[in-house]
Amino acid sequence: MKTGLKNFIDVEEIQSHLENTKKPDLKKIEAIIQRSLDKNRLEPEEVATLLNAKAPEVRERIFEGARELKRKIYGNRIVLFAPLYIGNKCINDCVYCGFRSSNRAVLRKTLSMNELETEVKALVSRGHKRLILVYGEHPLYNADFIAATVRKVYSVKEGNGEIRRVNINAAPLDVDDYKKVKEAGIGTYQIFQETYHPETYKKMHPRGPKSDFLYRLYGLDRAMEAGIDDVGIGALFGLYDWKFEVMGLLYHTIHLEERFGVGPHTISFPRIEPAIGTPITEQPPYRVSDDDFKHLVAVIRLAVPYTGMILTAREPIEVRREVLKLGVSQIDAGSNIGVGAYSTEDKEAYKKSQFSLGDTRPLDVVIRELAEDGYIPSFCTACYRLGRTGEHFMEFAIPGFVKRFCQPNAILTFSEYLNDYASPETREAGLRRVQEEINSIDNPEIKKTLLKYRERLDNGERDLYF
Amino acid sequence: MEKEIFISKVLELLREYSKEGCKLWLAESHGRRWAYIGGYGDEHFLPPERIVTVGKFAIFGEMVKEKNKKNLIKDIRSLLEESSG
Repeated sequence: MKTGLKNFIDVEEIQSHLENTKKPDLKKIEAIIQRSLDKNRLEPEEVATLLNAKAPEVRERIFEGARELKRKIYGNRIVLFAPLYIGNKCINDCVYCGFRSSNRAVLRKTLSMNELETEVKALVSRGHKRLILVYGEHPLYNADFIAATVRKVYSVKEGNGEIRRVNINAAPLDVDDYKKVKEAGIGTYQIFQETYHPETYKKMHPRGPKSDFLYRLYGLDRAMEAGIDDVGIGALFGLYDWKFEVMGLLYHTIHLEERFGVGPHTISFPRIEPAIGTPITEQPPYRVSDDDFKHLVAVIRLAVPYTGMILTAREPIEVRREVLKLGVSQIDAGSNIGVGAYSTEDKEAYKKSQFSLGDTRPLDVVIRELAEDGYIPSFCTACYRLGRTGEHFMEFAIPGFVKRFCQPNAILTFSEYLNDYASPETREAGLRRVQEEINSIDNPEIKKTLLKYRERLDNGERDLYF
Repeated sequence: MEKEIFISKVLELLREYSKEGCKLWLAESHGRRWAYIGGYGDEHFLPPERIVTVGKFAIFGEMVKEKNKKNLIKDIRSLLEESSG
């Protein structure tokens, strides 16, 4: 196997941090929260302390801290995207995954380029602007194929719409292959380690290329060596102790910061959900309760203040509502994870899916609820198309960035959605929300330009941004 | 001209021009994406404009005076001529 790679997930050290911080007192917790609110990435011992908080009042204090941090850094924007499964062929045999090679219950399918176009048109016609393309690990889904699918997605136009940002969730590649994918103009390249616990990893990944823990662990190092500056990490909660996995995510973040000067662009924290022909998903070995899930989301928020957090539609609606407040910056909505299922009424879609979803509401319904709850749904991709991406902790680093760029751009992309795709009820709720948001802008220059841009949108122009 | 030399010379130009109160940055395109390479000047939080595109590179700016834009484009062209000459 690939030699010379050092495992930067120090199991003993993590366990000792978790052991030594078992009885956190409120004073210490307060000090840690303050360090996070001062926009510092927390240290392992601090994160272990937060993870060990059990008393309801202490956890509530951590929730308050996470909510405050979210308000301070991200404001009330929620970025929306949809997953698009390109193919579910896979040569791995991950015990918890519906796509595993030994699963005879799953129907294998890979979208043709024509089918991909039809899927993208279906997504665009619902108002989506940002996608994550998902691939199994298979020789067919090599770098050339991935790049071709990305280019295809970008080439599709439907009415006033188009996809403006394509992220990738695929197998780890070698540096030269990442370069090919990068050239297609991707956003984030996402690889989940699934579990950071090497022994559990071995049990869960018995066969296939994914069984190599270190090759996967260094997958995003190679992406960054290839010049991909947005990478996403994640763990699948339920395979091993949730506290350990949060520490693993932190160690991974620290490793990327130390090596490349910047941490991951996003962190994902899915919980195992039932998958066809996959018994372990009904009884995950380390099931995470809703309370612990909320707690871990709040702790991640405080641990890495400048990193985007992605909450997926795997989670049930009520959990999504609560967790949104605790620091989530992106969610998928109107998702369909069967291969080819956005454009066809496929009664067997579940047989082509990796797992099942907890929130299957259409995008329009999710957007209406977000607007009614005081959020600004955003499809913004401006930084990414203005060469501001390399400064991707700008939101964090420059005071006022969110208010002066992200908030107006969220308003503009939301207004586009309301003009082109919203149902009458959503449009009504959305326009009310937009007006409130505009009223809250105190910079007259920005307000003036924003109002001018909105007028141009109403007159048929699209894709205007700060 | 080697890509690295071109980039460093452009960045040097941007540093000089940014002294006049504007923000300027260089980006490289990958498909539809423009990836930041480097830049100078204070953020003005105004809609930026693409001042010039040279192959896969573009210079974006905020609050750049018309006269400076013209001069910057002229300087970039000279850099390119220098490289092809």
